[in-house]
Amino acid sequence: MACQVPGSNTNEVEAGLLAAAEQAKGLSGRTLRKLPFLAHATYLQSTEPCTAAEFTIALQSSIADEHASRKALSMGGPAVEGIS
Amino acid sequence: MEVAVRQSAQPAEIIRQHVLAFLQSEAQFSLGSLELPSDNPLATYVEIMEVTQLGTTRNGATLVSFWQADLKVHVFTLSDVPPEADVIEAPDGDGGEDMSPCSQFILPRRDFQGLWGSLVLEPGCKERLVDFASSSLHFAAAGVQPHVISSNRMVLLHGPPGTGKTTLCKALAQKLAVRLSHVYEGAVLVEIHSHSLFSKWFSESGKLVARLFEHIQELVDDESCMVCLLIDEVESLTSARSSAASGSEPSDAVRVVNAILTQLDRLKRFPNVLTLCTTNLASSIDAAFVDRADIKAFIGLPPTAGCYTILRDCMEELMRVGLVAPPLEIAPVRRDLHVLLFAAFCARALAQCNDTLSIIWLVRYRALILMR
Repeated sequence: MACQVPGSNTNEVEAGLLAAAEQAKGLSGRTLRKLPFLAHATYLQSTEPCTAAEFTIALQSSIADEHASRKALSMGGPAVEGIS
Repeated sequence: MEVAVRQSAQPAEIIRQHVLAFLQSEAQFSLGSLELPSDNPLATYVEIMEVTQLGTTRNGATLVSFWQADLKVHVFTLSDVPPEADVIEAPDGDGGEDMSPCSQFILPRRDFQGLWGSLVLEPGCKERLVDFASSSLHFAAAGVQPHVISSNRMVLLHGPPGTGKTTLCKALAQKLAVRLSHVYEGAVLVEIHSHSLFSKWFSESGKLVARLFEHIQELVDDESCMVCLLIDEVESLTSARSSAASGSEPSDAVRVVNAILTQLDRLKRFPNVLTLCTTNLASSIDAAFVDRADIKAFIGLPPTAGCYTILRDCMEELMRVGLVAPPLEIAPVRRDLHVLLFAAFCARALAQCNDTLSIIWLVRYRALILMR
């Protein structure tokens, strides 16, 4: 059932999601459900639909941001790289 | 099997028979909603028809054939009544504001319908909780002597914030209302706002508690109605007692907590009450309270498989609304998923050896497989 459009390989998406899941260890369910929104707001920001593979990459970046801003919060320092 | 029917439909029992007859034609069952053909007479009544649990889902079965299926059909009507804040008027003349120490939800309700499915917990955790709660309600309904076998019908969920404890309480209440619809005609969820029980007026707090429980008592007196009490962030109540003992809080707080504990003890006698409590700080909770809870379940942060399921869920939603296109079929977590991905990445990495990213991922997946 996989569509053979370039950049929309199911395996690639699953791998991307799995990598994101692996990265998201230690985040709560509430945060996880917020991440897709943050990913869209921070990295995609378009009305055009994006491919699933693109989205997983944005998702991974926003997970990294989340970890970074959490760390900044616990250290009491400024947020990293313009993430407020 | 859960069937939600529209309001003002035929008696539940007749619909149940019809649904059972319809299900005879199914060859096998898997989790998820079932579509009714539009020419079926049931289609006018039935709103949602959903397979929600497959026998012992704990062992991971995803398909059940019709000859193995022991069908349990629950027919219910979803309620649209908005949550009702129960306002207790301030005692006359002293200028105090009205308090709303609880809100009331009639179950099963439409806005709770998707909650149960959206919760991703350890496999079998949700089912275990339902089984616990429903058998304790069964014990009470059957009239087991509470002096012999003690069961307080109290569930305490603890764990880090954001893991779905409050949602689980609401979903559990909804699920029980559906599952036990043949025992109890109605069900209510009463959410107690524990912070509003502490009045700024000295000695007023105790009266507030008394009035709150008077109201709950009225609900409980109706034996055909199941009452779920939800006390969120219960540590705000119970830790007050220890801090009051150390002298940092007025003695009024002690009275509130003691009043609540005795009132809860009193409610224990009624078989149709289930108390659900959540807390973030299990360590700071009053020992007297922990001792009263039958089930103390820890809800932890989701493991990798749980994260994957949640993210996959999000992706599917985005594909459904068309923000992510084209729609793809993303596999659920399987034990061999890692192996498949490893193979795919081997191929990819070999094809483009200079791609550092693939090599990093390759290493990561090897580590994952070794972990298993």
